[in-house]
Amino acid sequence: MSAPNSRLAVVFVVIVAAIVGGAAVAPFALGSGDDGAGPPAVENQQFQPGTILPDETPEEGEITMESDASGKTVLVDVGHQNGVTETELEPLVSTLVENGHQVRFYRGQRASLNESLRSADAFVVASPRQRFTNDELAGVEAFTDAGGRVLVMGDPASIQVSGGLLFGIGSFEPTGPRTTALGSTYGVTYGSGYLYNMETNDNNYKSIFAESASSGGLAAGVDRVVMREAAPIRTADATRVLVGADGTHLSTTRDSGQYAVLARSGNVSAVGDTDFISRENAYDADNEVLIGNLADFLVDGEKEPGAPTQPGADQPQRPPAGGSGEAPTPPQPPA
Amino acid sequence: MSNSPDGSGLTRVQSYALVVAAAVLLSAVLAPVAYDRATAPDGTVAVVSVEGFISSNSVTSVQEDLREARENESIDAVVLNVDSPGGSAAASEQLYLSVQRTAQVMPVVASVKSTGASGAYYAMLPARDIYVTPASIVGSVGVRGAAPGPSLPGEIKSGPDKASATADQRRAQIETLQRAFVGSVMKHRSDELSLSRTEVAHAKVYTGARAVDNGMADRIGSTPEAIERAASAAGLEDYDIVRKEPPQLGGLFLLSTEDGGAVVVEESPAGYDAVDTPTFLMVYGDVQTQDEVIGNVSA
Repeated sequence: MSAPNSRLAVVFVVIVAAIVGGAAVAPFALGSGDDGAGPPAVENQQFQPGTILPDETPEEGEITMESDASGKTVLVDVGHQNGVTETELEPLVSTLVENGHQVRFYRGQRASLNESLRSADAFVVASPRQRFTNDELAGVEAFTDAGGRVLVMGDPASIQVSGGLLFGIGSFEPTGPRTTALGSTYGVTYGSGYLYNMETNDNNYKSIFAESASSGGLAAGVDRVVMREAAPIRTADATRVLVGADGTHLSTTRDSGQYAVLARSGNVSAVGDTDFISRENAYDADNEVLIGNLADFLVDGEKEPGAPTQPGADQPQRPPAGGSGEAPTPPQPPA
Repeated sequence: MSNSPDGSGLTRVQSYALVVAAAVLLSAVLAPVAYDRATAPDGTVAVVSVEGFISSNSVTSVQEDLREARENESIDAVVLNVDSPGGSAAASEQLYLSVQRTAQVMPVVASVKSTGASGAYYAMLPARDIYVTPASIVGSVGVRGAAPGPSLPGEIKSGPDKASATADQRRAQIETLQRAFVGSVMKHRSDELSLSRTEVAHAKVYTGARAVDNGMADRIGSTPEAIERAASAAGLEDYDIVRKEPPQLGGLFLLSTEDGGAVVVEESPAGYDAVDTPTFLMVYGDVQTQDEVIGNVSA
């Protein structure tokens, strides 16, 4: 190879080396090299388990009764299209049965309510969707006047589906428990709307804590209970046994206040919730104590036998009350 | 022969002519580049649309748009063009994280066209400014979850919580997601908000003017103002705008009926095909989790 050719070759190699080497070094020199960084890191303390995992209310304890009474008969209403099933009332029913009491269900099929009440010592009505007739209301009043105990449980109006939802046929109807007439006899009514607490709750704003507002009786041993969907109980004279914890608001007004969820007026107690008694919720907080107290309340009365004894009410002259709504009472036969 | 002093074949004049010609040629190549460089905008603002129900599918393409914005050096700012009532809780969180990453490397400004509620509001939180018009709706900081359906008859499950959950468990799950959501709102907007954490958790929606007043949003204005704001935050006086197409939502199925007509059924945007999974939603408005009949085109 001649000298000029070898010089050309050297020049060629030097140029190629300079260009390729320059390309390799340039990104680092210019600061534009890929430094291997992935997407920008984000830090979200608000997502950390310690920040967002809620506490769960302990579920422990047993439902026990203190009462010495035995052999009482408790009538449970399921004949007024009640929004609560026998299954949901099972903890209360089981407690009564386990403690030697008898539980019967009024289905409105064979006997009238007043006939059924006559042989009962206590009466439980949970979320009736059908109105009580005047005869029935009079019967329940006579029942309590005779010393019979009545437990009324209601809940806020809920949306019920009628006619099925297939392809949008059917409708939603807001239905509230028909407890007004029953409660008003004893100076107790259910307010509209539901109670909620955004600050102190059992993992949902509707799952409010209720605390005892009186001592002994139904509130004995109760620090606080959990109610899943409670309606406020309004009363002038009845004893407010449990009230919503601080920060409890009413949905319809958004006002906070001391809303009663359990009140007692003589032989009648009214609760603003029906979910607390179901087995799933029965051991939340002190719910089991409250259920035991309610069972005691039901069997502690001293009812005179035979009430209600309204004239005509014990004659088999009208069809059974269940399902008849406000059907007029047939005329009395001539004396 | 040659009058060149160094003995080469070119005269001085020829050499100059050659150099001048080479310079002109080189300049002719470089001048357009220099001209373009001189007249080019300072940068680009990418407008990324977040429209409709936020689902795993729809969020993927928005995330890709945002990733491209982060990686493409020519893009200097992002405007989120939002018109969505929210959607799946998980997808909304994914979108939030994606917007948050983008906001760490360039200005992100949100503009609410009509609705920027629930999961869509979640996604906007990392934006430095949220623009609304008086009729825009923002807020609804909340989570919802439907109860799972009943078990199939004869179904055998390996454990009590397989394919279902107790009400207690679902309440705790919803509460967990809600705390993350409200916590994110407070993280990004507590300086602006006149609302307390509890008031935010009420999940109310606010119209534009109210939202600016209480700090849920920042300014009254529409997308052009948001773009201008994003460009200014990125230091751009002269800029291009690149618009990213909104994601296409799930398709429609045509089912023929016995009488020869056809029923148009829209596939449920939440959940998965063939599995009725309990889904947590961050959405404002009535939710149709089942397949929805939207019209009967039978003659």
